[in-house]
Amino acid sequence: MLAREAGARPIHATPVSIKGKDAFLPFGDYGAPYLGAAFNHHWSKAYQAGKARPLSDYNLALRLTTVGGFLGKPLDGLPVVDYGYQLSRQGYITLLKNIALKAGTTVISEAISEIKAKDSVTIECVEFETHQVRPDLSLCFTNQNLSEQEKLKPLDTCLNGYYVDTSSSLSGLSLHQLQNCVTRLLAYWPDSAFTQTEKLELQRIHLAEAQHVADMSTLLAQGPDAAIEGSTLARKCQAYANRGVIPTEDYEIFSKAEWLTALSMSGLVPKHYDRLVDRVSVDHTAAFVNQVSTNIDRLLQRPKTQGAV
Amino acid sequence: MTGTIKKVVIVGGGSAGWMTAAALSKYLSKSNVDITLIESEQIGTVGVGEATIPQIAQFNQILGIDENTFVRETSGTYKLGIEFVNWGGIGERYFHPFGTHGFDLEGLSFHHFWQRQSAAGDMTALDDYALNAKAAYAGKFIRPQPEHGPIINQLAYAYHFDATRYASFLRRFSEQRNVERVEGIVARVNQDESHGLINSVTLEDGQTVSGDLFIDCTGFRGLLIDKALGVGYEDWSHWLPCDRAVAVGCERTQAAEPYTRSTAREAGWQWRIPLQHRTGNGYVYCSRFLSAEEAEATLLDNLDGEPITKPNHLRFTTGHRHKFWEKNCVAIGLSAGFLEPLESTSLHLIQSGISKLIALFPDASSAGIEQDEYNRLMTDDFTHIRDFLILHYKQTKRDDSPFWNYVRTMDIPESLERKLSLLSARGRFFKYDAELFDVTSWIAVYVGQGGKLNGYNPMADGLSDGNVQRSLANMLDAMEKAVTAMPTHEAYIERFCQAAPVNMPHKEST
Repeated sequence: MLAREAGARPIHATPVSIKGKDAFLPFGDYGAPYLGAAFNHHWSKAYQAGKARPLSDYNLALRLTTVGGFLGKPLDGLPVVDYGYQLSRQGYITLLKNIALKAGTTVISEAISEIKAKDSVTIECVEFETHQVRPDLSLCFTNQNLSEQEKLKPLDTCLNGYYVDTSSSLSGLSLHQLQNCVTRLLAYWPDSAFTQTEKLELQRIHLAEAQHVADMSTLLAQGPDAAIEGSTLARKCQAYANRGVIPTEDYEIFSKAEWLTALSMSGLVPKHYDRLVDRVSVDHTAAFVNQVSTNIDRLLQRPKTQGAV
Repeated sequence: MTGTIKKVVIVGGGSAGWMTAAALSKYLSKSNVDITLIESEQIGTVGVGEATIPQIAQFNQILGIDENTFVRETSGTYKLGIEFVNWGGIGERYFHPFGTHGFDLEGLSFHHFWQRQSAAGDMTALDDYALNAKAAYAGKFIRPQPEHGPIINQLAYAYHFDATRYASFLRRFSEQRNVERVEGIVARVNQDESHGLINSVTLEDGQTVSGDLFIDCTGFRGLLIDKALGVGYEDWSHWLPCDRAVAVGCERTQAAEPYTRSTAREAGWQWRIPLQHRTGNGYVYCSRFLSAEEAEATLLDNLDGEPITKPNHLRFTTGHRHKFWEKNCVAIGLSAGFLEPLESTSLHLIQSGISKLIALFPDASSAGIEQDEYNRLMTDDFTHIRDFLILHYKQTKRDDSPFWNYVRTMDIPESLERKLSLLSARGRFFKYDAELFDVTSWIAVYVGQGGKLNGYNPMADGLSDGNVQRSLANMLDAMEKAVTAMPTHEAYIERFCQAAPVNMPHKEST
């Protein structure tokens, strides 16, 4: 239905622009952890010894994206490859709208002419051109294309209203954020109005998420040098540049594979790798690392009927 | 100091020292890193019997330790949770289970449906929906296997064990992996004059042990991190005022129950940890409200059997070092900080420190970034656990002693204030990524100690009364059947992991 109504096409990576160049943030991991260390540390060791290919060759999601392929189910010896959809936003809205209408939702397709407040924290009435609604709870999702920095301001959430702007310069992110907002909203669904604590908690989580989006946007658009000293982005850049470690914070919205891609494609090269990798020889490491790329190569060479579509 | 770390020196044995040695020897086995551990038989360890949380099983698995061997060698028993007695009010008891309460319905946490039914007059206690609580009170245990099905697989477990035996067990493990043990007492810590880095330690017999990275496992003394490097201490005794403990082992008089018991007393609380060969006991108390003599007398009056060790008195200050990692020294265990063992988190914090150290293991020349990250993550760990512990003291009706009047009315951290406000309104709970205790734990303690959920997520009204009633009744029925099918805890241990019999020491000889 999603494909038919919204023209949905499964994808394994989000298209982004890194300092003006087209790139992708993959939904799947690079290789697999081994000996207690993440794959990128093994790759670093092998690459430093001249025994590995570029990092992007070890990510199945990126390789599939490059060749326009799709893998719907996990294969032995390879990590699971998640997928999202590239779809028609209008088609998706129509699809969801039909579901809501069938469930009894009333739609008013008019511009808001006035919002009347009962007091400083409560919405009493929303007036449209020909309708008037007195909501117990109002949810306002807008798409005003605010800058990422502007979105770091606290949400304008009154006690019986929930307002969030989820426009994003990053492809696919606005729907992802909307989904997170709705999930939180269901978890905090009020009887009649949010308590002050619930409102602050919603804001706290939203702002944490907005900070991660702002960090990623800054990294992609301006590079690591734009990170402010002491900020969460600076910490990520420094820890990665030093040892290939990616610190995560509460309510991360991007996966480690996405951060790894963004950090490495921004030009950062780790000076060191995890010492755990040195439990085996460089030849052993190279063999492990290159087994991953060999498996991916084989998979991509398979006829479509054998799994890679 | 520049270049690659070639030698790690762990100062102090005990659980922290040997857990660190075991993990580093496993992970750094082929990294050309030498590991030396310095300890003295003249310095006792704090360990008197330890209760743990389920994460310890991961630690053992990573080391490749066979679970039956581990339980047998440490005279261990299984633990399904903690029974809290007299905490909400005198005469009250509840169970903080590992695992979960019931099953979530329609994507909503179980406790919302439980609260909905409670509000409608259903008197079934929250504990009744915890498989762990039911099995614990029935004295049952089984290690879940996939073929046992979804109900029994809800059973989560940890262990009780003899900490001294655990340290000995890990010592054997480590020495087999080339960890060098040096017997001796550290007399002096030698630092590089220009940067203050620790170069070596000199022992009382004149021997000098040098290293690139030092792990301070010297317990409360903090011989390296505090005495040598002068790292300050974040004092949390305002919120967690207990500052003394007295511990004693006693004879076992009945089958070992698969749970820890924590009984609130006049100025603190008493632990009871059943092991295969004895029962560990201790009274954690606040010296502002109770003398050492009174605490010892209370403890000895409340043992199951005859004491078999001399009472061991301990002093501590709750809190943690301002920095866990300073220069080339990492503090792990009691030298890093102390949170009373109310939720059995001591070994977990050691484990957490070790796993972070391994993930951030430095090259000597560039430890600054790793150090900052380690300190940030460990501070988060301590802070999250601190809030959960404070909940136990704050959420009480007890007004029968100055101690309880103090903790009941004290100010609490803003982070806990926010959590309690959300919980009390409608049972809301959002877990931080690095937070150890989840919604089951918070709800168990909050509700168990008389906290009111003044509502539930209105989404829980999306199911009909009949549907919710049937679902909850089915859960109770399924859990009852699962518990009936389990062997007794004693029978399980006897079959798989019974320790060799030991001659119990006489009190005079210890």
